[in-house]
Amino acid sequence: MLGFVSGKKRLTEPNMCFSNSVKQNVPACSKSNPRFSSKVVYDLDSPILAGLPDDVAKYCLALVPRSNFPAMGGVCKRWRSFIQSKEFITVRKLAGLLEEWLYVLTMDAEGKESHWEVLDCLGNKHRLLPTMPGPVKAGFGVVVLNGKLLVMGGYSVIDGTGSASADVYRYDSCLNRVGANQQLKNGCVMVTAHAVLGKNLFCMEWKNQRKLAIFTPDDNSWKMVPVPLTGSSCIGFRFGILDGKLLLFSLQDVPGYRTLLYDPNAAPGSEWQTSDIKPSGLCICSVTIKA
Amino acid sequence: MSSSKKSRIVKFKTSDDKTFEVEEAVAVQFETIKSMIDYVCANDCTIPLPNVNAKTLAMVVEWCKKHADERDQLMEVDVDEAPGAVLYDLLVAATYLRVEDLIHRVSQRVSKMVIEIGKLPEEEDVRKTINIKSDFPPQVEEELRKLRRTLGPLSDVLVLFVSSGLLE
Repeated sequence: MLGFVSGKKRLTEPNMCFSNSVKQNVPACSKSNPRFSSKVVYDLDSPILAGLPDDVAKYCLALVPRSNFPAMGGVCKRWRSFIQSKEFITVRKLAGLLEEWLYVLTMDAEGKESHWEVLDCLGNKHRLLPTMPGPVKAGFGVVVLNGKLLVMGGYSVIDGTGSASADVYRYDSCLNRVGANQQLKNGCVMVTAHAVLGKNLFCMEWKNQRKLAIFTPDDNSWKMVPVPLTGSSCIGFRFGILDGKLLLFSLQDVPGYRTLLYDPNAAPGSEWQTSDIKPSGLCICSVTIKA
Repeated sequence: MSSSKKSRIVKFKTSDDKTFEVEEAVAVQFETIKSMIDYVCANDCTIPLPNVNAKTLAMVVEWCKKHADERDQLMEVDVDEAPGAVLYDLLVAATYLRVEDLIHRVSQRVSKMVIEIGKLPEEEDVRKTINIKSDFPPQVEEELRKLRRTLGPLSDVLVLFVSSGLLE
């Protein structure tokens, strides 16, 4: 029965090591705050569905239509943390279930009431987002990270007195829920420019426009990177993204300004370069289209 | 595949130590086994299936034998009989053997169960099917209970928790 042995050996290798891979795929408990962590905090004793390996159960959860997510989030912590995780989006993506939605902040004719609404690609209005907590604000930044909408900073005017806000609110599109994001909260105030590059969020603050603030969601850390003087010493930039690199377009018409380029993947010390990419006028905003 | 036109038999040994003889036409639908059929048949080997029992393998085999239109009916019967355990065993087996179509169908069934659980997680028999205890703090659980009672199955009502911050 030599053949049997070799046949069996093959069975226990890649294709068939189902039970092994399930065990290996359980990450160690994450110590970071689960609220922004993309890692799911696991209780090793509780499977998602008892009797099913988690990989299989996750696929089943991902197949559920999204209107049920908020209710599923009320079943237990394990489900809730999975639905909040980046992994949930990844599994849904692999199953071909990701949908594209347009989130629009709209204002009524008098300019008093504003709210976020969600539109699908046919223009159907789907829902209004819950109101962002805190006072009404203007001048905030908006960005999407891991399927979550972040509304950052801005200022509010109460009784004629304006004050800058350091609050960041996070809307979870799966759980349809708004919460304050404390990790970001202490990071940036009054963001004047921002962009998402890879997994990181790049911001420039109004109070310090010669520094780049980089947020890494994996470990919830902020890193401040000074903008070098090459190019120009002017302040005020708009961000552009091309080829995985961040471009800093000047907001002022400074003769001889060369577009600064920040390459997060470059060797330490050579992240900053200048680029020949330069729009003919001032940059108001820019988007990158991959087609 | 091979030059012989005669239908061959592939032998399996299930987790409960039963030997199963499966026609090649069915066995080729097991992606995991497909590439080794020639070898296994030529050497008269038995393929061990350490996490598939005889009852479940019989279901998979039966499912693979049926035409697409009959398969759905087959599934209905199984679901009515015993929702949780049988479905899970079947899904584990389908995943192990990589019968893609079956994986997808059973997962769909399970996802329907998940929706039911989401709607009424505190019902005894619903809880039993998933064997999950709610691990939210007691006051949150009480609040959820009240909401479900007054508002019906939860959908967007969890938003209400934002103000209280109970679910943080």
